[in-house]
Amino acid sequence: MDLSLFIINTIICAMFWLVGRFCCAWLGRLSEASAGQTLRDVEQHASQSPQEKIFPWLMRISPRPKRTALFHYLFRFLTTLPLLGMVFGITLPFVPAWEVYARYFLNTMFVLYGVVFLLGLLLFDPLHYRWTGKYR
Amino acid sequence: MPVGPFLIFIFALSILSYVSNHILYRYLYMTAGVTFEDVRTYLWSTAEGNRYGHRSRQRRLWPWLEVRSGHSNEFYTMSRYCNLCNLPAVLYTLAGVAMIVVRLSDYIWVLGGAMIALWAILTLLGVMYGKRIQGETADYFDSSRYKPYQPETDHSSGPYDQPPPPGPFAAGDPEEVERRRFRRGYARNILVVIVVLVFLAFPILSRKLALPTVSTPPKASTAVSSQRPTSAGTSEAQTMYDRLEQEGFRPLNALGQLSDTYPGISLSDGILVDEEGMHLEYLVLTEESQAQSLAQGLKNQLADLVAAQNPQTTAEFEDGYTLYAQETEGGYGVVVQDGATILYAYCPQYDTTWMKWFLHDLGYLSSF
Repeated sequence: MDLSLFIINTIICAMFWLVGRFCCAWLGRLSEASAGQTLRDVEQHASQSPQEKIFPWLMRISPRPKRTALFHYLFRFLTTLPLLGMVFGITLPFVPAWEVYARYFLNTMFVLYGVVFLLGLLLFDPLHYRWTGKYR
Repeated sequence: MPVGPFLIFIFALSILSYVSNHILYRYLYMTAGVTFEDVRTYLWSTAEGNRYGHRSRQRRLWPWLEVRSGHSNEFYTMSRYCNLCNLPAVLYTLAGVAMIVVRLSDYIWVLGGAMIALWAILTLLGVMYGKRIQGETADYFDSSRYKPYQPETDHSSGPYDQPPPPGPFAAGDPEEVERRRFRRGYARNILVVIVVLVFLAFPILSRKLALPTVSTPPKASTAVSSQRPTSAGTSEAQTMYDRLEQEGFRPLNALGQLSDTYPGISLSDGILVDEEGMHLEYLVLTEESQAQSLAQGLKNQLADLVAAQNPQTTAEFEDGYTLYAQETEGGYGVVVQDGATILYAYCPQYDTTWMKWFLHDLGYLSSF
């Protein structure tokens, strides 16, 4: 039983699970912006009604609920993907043939989070201004 | 790699950047309505409890100046000059590394000269603009409007609630200031994306366009550049050529050069290796009698060449070949005459063992 790829996979996935959210945090904030709320508005609401969950509230008040949901679930998916990778990695010592999929997965993650980060630099500011009417 | 001029220019441009910062920052302080002493007081008064003050000096100073200037256009223009004067040093560093990578390092001093000229032009423009600022703010600093900075000791009221005293220039429109800051931030984001894409695209493009990089081997030395390393004509020479290539050498088909070295000897082929102290000639002659006399001559030459105390000589006269080897503390030399071919080689001491093994492997040196 070869554990090396399992260990490598776990380390890289854990790294992306911790760091990857900095690359896609802008998706979560765009979800709020598509509901017309800046970060300050969301924090204000959260402190005024701490019992209410953020996402249902956003969906309720959002003029574009589809985009709010899209960005929210995209953010949730990208922050969960490395955890899925770690779960998949448990199979690697038992099914050596899946090594090739694991390698594809790891390589794809490196590219994916890099591209998402660069896209955030380009897309966040204009979209945020368009939907909230405020600079940040 | 010629790092020397590169480092000298980096050092020079760093000093020049320091000089221009020193000159232009006084004018920047003027646009914010403060003096050098005020800035020093501010930095000292806020340095209390800040263990990393030296690192965040600019980070704390610039927003303070921005607020004190009331976001005036003059402040932004002057700070742009301050930043632009550092640009030649940064550009030189990046472009210099790029030039070394693509083997254009012979022209690095041209780049350095151009960057110093650019620095001079930018600093001159900055100083001219600064003189104008100085003229316009002279009455502000003389009037009662200017009050020397007093460090705030009582922070309970909140330092951010008090509006700053008006500066020498008309305050900018807050909405316009916000928009400008937004645009500048977005432009910086775009720049980051472009730089990243360029760094990703450069290796791909250089491979596509076959640009030279450091990973390509340098060209052969000029002395033997006329002979290209191609395979030789005769079969013995071809075998030896392949063998030497296998051993990691870059043998040269040097028939012309070796014919010049041995005038009067008619060679049909010749291979030359001259690398890192190792010298190896493989000669294929047309007549065996000439080979015998040439081998004798080379043997005498070897004795002169490695002239040292107590040479250990080895001589072998087998049926096919004649070997004469001479080992000293300085190195190892050998002449082998095998029929009409001659192998003549000498090498430094650290290659001796390899050379003996090589001869043994060729079937010449019976024991070593």
